[in-house]
Amino acid sequence: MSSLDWLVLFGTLGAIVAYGVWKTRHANDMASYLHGGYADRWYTIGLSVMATQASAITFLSTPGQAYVDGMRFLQFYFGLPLAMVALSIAFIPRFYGLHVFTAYEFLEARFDRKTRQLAAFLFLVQRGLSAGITIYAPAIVLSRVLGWSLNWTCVSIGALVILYTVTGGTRAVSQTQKHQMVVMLGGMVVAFFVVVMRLPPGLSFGRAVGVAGVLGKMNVVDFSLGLDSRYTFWSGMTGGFFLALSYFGTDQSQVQRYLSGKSITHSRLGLLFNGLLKIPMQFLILFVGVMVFVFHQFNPSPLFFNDATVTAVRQSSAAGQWQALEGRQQAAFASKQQAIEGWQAALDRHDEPAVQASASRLRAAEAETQKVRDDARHLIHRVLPRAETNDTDYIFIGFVMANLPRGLVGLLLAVILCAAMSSTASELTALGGTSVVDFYKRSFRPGASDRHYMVVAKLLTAGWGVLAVLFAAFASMLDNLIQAVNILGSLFYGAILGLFLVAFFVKRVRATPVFVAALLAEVLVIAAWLTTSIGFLWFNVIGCALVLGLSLALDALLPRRGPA
Amino acid sequence: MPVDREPPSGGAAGEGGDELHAAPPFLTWRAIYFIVLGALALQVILYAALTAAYR
Repeated sequence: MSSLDWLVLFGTLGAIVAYGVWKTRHANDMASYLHGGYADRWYTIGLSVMATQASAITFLSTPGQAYVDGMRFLQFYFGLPLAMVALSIAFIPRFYGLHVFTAYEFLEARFDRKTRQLAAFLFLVQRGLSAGITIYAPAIVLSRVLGWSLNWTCVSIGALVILYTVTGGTRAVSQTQKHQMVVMLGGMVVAFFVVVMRLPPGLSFGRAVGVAGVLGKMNVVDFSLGLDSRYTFWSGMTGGFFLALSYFGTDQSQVQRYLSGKSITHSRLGLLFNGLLKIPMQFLILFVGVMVFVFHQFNPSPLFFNDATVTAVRQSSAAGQWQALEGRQQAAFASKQQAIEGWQAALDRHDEPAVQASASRLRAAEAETQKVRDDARHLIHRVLPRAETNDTDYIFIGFVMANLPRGLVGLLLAVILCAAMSSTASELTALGGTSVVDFYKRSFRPGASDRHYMVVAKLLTAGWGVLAVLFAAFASMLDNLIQAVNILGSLFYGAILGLFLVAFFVKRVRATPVFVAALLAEVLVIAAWLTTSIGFLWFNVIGCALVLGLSLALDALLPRRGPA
Repeated sequence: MPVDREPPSGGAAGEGGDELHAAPPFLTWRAIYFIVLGALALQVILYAALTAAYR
């Protein structure tokens, strides 16, 4: 990296963090620390909600996922706007009505303490684990760029986030997220224009998208039915809706973002702002990945995008086999070049049969490329059994490092780090806040001073940060990172959402039936995940439906005390 | 011994009166929800067309 890149990277990060800490230096009570003194306007809430969800994983994994799998991941977000409307109508007024610090307090008002603490516990487990992955993802990038050890990189990122989160609390998080989100969106727009400008001069933008379409990358919407298909319109609208409803409605890292609004109107508008912008933003990020794919149809790509692994294989006894695979890849690349030239010439002549014939040749050459990549992965696994054979997360950063001009590399690294810091900061304040409000204050030390709780919240926030860093050390064993986070969320969110839906809409159900139903539902969901091939998005629906059904059944079966 | 609490007779949604339901000055809530959901429908149509065009 050039010195200009370093200047852009540290200048951007330093300025944003310093501004956030300076702006929020007077956070000295629980309301200020956990909800920023209820001062945020709707656009700050909207950007903060988006920045919380958009972790570094979003910017590392998503373009790589589009490169490999096309645009279909976009459907995952189709249920989100619907969920934002549902939250504005049904959730926010209830939270505001009880003036809660955490979403889980509502469950005690409706049921009892054990139900509140079950939901809070499920949140702490899944969000605590996710926070580790959120730190791990950008650590891969920095360790690659700086040549640091992965574990020390995790520690450095974690320490920086803990510092400004503990210093300024929620307000510091919101204030920094507003600027971080501008950097993230700006950086991706710049990346998009750079990749498009790097395409061959004779290739129009429409033809570039056409190449992606021929090779199956423009598969944005899939209306096919089938529970085992991971991303379809139907799974996005239903599973995605339930996941968004659970995540934004019951995950404290998001609930505290919109409860910090100046008024209920600002909170609602902030969420609806997210509902309007989220899908176009994800489209942009995925489309950048597709354009990187098109770029590599005209410029040779590495056989495997993780340089460190490639170097290790080249230094092993399988170096000759690796070279042979690279030869096959070059031959497939040459076939693609010929097929694309033929395809373009046929389009110019309006010769439809020739267009189809060239497209078939192009697909065959791409299938050969994929076969070579599969063989390369098998070879890596054979030679280096402990090495990660999924290189999706390295695709976009590899393109950035090799092809972006000086200064922009620093900007794109700032995008990734801003994303990591913004989502981790939200997670840590939520974990610390929930630990204090739902457990420490409720069960261990009621009646202490406000200042005491704020100090404990800061200590627990730092403690969760340390745990997240420790967990990050194990995250390298997981497959694609963004999917790991989403799978983890889907296993827990359904049951938590079920608890809230019963609380809101099924007035006859009592506390013990819903508590037992949530425990049973969680066990059944995890068992189904381990033993079936159901797409993970469906577990949001299944978990929620199980809690609803089981709580109704148990409420009918369990005897009531006194007159009904 | 914790005793199951019977659900409250009213919902929290109704508490707080007008402030909880106050719309922003420029549009009604219903119109804002319509805009958000309309934008979603428009995008799905657009993306379906994009998928069909570049199949």
